[in-house]
Amino acid sequence: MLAAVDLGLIYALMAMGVYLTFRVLDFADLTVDGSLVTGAAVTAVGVVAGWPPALCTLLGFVCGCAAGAITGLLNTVGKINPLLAGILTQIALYSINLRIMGKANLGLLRSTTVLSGLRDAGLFATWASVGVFLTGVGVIAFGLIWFLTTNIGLGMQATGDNAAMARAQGVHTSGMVILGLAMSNGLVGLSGALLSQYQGFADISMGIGTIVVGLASVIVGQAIFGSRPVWRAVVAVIAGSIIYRVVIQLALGLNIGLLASDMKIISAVLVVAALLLPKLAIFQRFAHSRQERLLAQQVLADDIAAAQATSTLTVDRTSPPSDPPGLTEGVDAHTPPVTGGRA
Amino acid sequence: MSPDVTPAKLELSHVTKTFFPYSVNERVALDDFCLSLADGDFVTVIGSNGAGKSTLLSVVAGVYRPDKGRLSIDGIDVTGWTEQAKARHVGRVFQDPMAGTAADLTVEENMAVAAYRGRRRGLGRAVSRPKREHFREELSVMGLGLEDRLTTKVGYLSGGQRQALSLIMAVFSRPSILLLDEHTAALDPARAELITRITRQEVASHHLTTLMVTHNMDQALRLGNRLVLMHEGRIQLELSGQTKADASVDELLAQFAERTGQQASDRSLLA
Repeated sequence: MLAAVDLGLIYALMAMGVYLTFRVLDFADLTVDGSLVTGAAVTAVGVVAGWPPALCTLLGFVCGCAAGAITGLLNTVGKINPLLAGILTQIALYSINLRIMGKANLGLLRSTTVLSGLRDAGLFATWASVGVFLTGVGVIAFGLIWFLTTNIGLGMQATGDNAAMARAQGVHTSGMVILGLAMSNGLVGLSGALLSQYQGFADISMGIGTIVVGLASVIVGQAIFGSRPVWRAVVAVIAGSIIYRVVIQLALGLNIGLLASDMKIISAVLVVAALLLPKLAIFQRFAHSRQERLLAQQVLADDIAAAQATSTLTVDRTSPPSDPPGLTEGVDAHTPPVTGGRA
Repeated sequence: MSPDVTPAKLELSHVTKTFFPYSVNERVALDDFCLSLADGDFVTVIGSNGAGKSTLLSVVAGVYRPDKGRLSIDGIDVTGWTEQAKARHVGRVFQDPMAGTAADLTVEENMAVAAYRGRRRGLGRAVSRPKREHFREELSVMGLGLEDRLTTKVGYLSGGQRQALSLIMAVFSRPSILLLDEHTAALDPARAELITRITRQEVASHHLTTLMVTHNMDQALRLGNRLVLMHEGRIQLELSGQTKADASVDELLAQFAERTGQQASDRSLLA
């Protein structure tokens, strides 16, 4: 089970990348299926060649950044639809990844990696490895949270939330999309770099379905732990990634004839369930009543202020007569406000 | 060019903007359009649908680039500038209350985005304690209680509150030009009145040069020191000073009919 937690933490870096594009930038980025392998391939080749493992891992991050930046340029400068831009980079990366590795599978068990210390001491899948990974992921998560609360990070959040508003406020939305995609795929590349060193190999097909796993982590994590403020969202994504791996592990261990190759359909079903469950009537009723309670408290002040403004100034008689007359007396506090909460 | 020592705050000279040129849908939205705003001018713009009012604001904001003509702000030629580059000088409030704010961000985060309009966004903390105090102060002027709800998601605010926040965000960094695009049109009469009141108050207290498009003739007469009636991409009538103060909606409608040769009803202008 601790092996699943190890993997969950390594994949959490990838999930944070998916969070950055899918949630923060509102950009469904499919580059990740390719950039995960790119990170793994670059690192594996470097490690096998005897380069310093830390440098190889960093290179995995940088190459991921480059892949993301290309998708960003395709989308912003080339005006290509986000999904298509991601798919194009992803398919191009397949060839590039093969070129980097020279073959479809590259083993690095005999090479020195950043994780050799843990491996040689037999500490993989123990509380020691979990502690090490947790610390590393924690530091990177802290960096991401810090970034998102800076002026530039807030500009990125605004870009994903309301691009027209962001532009009117002078945010360089294209630059934000490129930067966000670069950072996201950098994290994904880093995740791939660590994954190859953990597993002891890089494989051309290791990236298939990465986006689905990332989405599962983001959606499941945020459904359980929430998405605001930003620190909560990031922690939720990390937790989501661990939960996902543990669920897969348990499903495989159930002895109902599931194979490791069935993992993909389990992930797909998990994401579909996470997307559809909130739409079911019983969940909707709960969410609805919660929103109504919030609105009931909050809209009142606006109505009071509006009523006061009306009583001190004359009502605009030239307004279209279609407006309900009751509104001018500020008595609409009882009726659900039509203008609020349409987020 | 006039030999004035102080340049006009906003100057549009012979600006032309045509949509879908050389096609059957060709439409001249601005036709050799000239307008100059002195420091502190508050110009209200009225006109029927398709008169070019919104295009005028979009050209000033940099959403569209004029086909011909020159646009300058504070004496600087900004004709070819992008929307982002102009944002330093231009504050804008849209008609749709949802358009001017980011729903998933909190009130203070929206304010922080606006606080850096036109400035380099670096790695400084977006919402710090001194900034929060500043936001609180700025919001408290409106008397809507928004200053006590800095950490509320903007999506939970009502349309009137969101529009009030958009307005504060637009004037927050004291822009050279404030653009108001029918910013009370989507609100019910009481809230429209509230936003009108706050607009008057903010423009006066910060001495903002303002260009406001409205479909409401009464509002156009009550606000500002100059009134411009547009038709087919050109200015048909301009009222200012005492003439504007004395004018009534009926007189304005009569003028409109005379200038445009259209059977002008209040509805056609309100539409």
